[in-house]
Amino acid sequence: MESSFMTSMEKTGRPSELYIDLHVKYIQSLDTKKDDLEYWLTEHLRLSGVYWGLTALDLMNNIDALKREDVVKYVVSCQHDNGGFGGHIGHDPHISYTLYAVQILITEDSLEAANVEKIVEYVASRQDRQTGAFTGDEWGEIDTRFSYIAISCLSLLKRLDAIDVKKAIEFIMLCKNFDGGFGSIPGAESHAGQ
Amino acid sequence: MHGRKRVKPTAEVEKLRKEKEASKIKEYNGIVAACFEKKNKCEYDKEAFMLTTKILSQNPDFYTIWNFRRLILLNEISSDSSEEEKQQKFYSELLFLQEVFRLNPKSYWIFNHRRWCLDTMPDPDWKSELDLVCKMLDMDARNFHGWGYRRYVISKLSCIDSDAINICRTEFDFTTTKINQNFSNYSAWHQRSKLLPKLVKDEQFDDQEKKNLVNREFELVKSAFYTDPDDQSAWLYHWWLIGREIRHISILGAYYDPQNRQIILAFDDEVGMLVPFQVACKNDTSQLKVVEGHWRSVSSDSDVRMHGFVWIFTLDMENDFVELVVTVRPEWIVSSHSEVKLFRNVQMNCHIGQSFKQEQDILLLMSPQTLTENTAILSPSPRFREDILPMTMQERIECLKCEIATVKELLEIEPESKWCLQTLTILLRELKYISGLNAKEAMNFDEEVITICDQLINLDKLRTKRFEDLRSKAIFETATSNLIQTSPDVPQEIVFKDNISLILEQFQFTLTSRNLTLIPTPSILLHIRILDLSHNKLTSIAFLSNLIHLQEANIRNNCISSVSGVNNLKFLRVLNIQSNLIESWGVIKNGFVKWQGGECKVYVSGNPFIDEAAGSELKWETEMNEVAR
Repeated sequence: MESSFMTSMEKTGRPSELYIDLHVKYIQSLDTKKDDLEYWLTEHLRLSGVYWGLTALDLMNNIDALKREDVVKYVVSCQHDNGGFGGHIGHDPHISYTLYAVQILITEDSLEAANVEKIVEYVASRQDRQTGAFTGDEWGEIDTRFSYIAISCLSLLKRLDAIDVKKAIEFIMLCKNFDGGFGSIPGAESHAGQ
Repeated sequence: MHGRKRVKPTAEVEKLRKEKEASKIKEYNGIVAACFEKKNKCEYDKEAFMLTTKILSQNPDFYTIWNFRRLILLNEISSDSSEEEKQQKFYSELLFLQEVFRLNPKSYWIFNHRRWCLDTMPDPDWKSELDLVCKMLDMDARNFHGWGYRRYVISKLSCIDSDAINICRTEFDFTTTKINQNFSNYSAWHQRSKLLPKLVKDEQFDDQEKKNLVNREFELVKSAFYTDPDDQSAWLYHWWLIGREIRHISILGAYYDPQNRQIILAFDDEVGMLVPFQVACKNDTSQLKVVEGHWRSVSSDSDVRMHGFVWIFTLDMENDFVELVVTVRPEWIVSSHSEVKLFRNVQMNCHIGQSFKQEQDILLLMSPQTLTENTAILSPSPRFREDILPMTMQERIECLKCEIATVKELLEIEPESKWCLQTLTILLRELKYISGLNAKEAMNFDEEVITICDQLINLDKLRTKRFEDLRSKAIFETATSNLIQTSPDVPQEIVFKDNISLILEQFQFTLTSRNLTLIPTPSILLHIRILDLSHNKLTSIAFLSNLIHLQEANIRNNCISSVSGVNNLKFLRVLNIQSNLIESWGVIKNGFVKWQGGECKVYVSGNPFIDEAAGSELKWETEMNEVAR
């Protein structure tokens, strides 16, 4: 696959450099697509979208293409009293969006804008101390992706002490499969995402 | 959306589309706003429920609305008088879910809600759920959500069904059906891998039944990979079925260096230290006393958490003791991967003679002690697939030989099959490991693996590096077999050959022009003074940090772009890194910046940064003088 891509580059004269300006403009335009139904149907992914867009911009050394204050204000407005963040303003808290929030705030050097202690509390409360597994939210879905999210989040906040790491690992190991990969719960098929 | 071709419409068509879209947006946003208003006011009424139905039919990923819907349902059933009424509500809910599922067979939220319904309703019908999931898997045999849901339903059924053993068997047979329908049904093979051990346990097979079962498994797998040698599923299942022995970590040797007051511990695996290995000493009074000091691995300057093959302990105190003891326990180390373990408590000691002269380069060998708690070596019980069929070592060897023959047969029909070739490397290496061979026999295995790797490097362009590394491992093992021997105490472990630190021939090591891409176990080269690895494909010399006695190293004509790895090599006098990929003087300076040796000649011509005409060696001396200062 790699080699055929290279030849096609030579053959078709496709770009050989990264068109950063265009990529930046594209990311900036994403919040303007209010005429598309799709924009509204994906409101629950708004916070995730900010993370993906901002990180891409940062990688291209264009972090200021999105205004820092606006980003921080938006992220903070997604935090609930229990510390968790929702996918958009008013959307229910979930561990996934909580990680995105932390990642965005750290990228913007603005962690203190949110209630960090509450975040730690929320993420820690997602762990089932018996099994070591993590739920996504109060509705109880268990998945090793949430283990990753919890550990990543608390690691960024330097608060791994808030959870039982050993138990967390035990649970993850139960999800190891015949092919060496890991699934979402014990017995589940290996998935690259886990 | 992905995959949709962009066709430029006419202005008229475009205008109509935009208007339609705008009205859809207005309607949708209206419903959502109304729903949120209800939610924020905690109004769990029929209108709210209808709003959630409208939203979720269009947008089943809107998780917050599912949450709200559940709150409404909970509120409703709490006011219901009869179980019948509650049941009815959930039936409707399940029907609704089926409709939404049709549009979105892979949405996590839909499955979550369905499970919640079944877990919450008074009397869930698990049998009908099983039927449903069968249909699901008929439609798409690879939908992992479907398989996951099936496992969930089965687990519920097995709780209420007294015939639980039968369920394992029927599920197992289900995977057989699915596999026979399509050999590349990865989900089915995966499921089978979970059920097979369970089946053996539940049905309490005797040895003969186990053998029959396993033989049938091998037959099934064989027909699968003979039918489609390119499909990974059967091969991966095959690898699992055959399995691998857990490797023992060995301590190759432990030494005490009185002049530098250091203990040197060489492992054959890159280990991390969870708990500092205990060092103790004895005086004439024969009271064991803890020795203060600090451990670090040779790979790191300061961070004690860094993994390494060789660990060095520097004593805080002077050599006023008679005996030195170091202890390592399995729980104090973390190995490089889960199939490699230290299996016993290790204790090494040495005696320091009082009239000992502090000569350079003398290492006192620390000898292993038999520990009373190690009366039985803490060895793993056999071994591969013992959860299905425990085998004696001899049976295991026969099994491997049989499978090697099977795969070689297929290779004759399909000489370019990457899977056949890679499987052979795995089988051959496993057979080599468990067979207890002499040097010549071991070398034959290595050579066969090397030949296969050469073929794979040609055939599998996407994974060349993997096979170059495997090849390098085999080559290195053959080349270093004269430096080590089987441990006399523990046959699964290796140690340095007796007196290796004193035998002059063991001080040189040459392995050139072999396309080596890595040095897998650099600690084996601990005692090497003169090294020649020229004309290979090494990309890093970080491994040199393990060769603490190194005086001369020839790494010319490789692919090195960094000079990290020489910091601790105090005795290094000559380093030849000609014709590599070093891009600047800075790289070389960085390599030596913390170096504490005396004087070292570094040969650098033929690297990208060298301008041959400009008197490069002179410039180098100037640069090095600066560093030395």
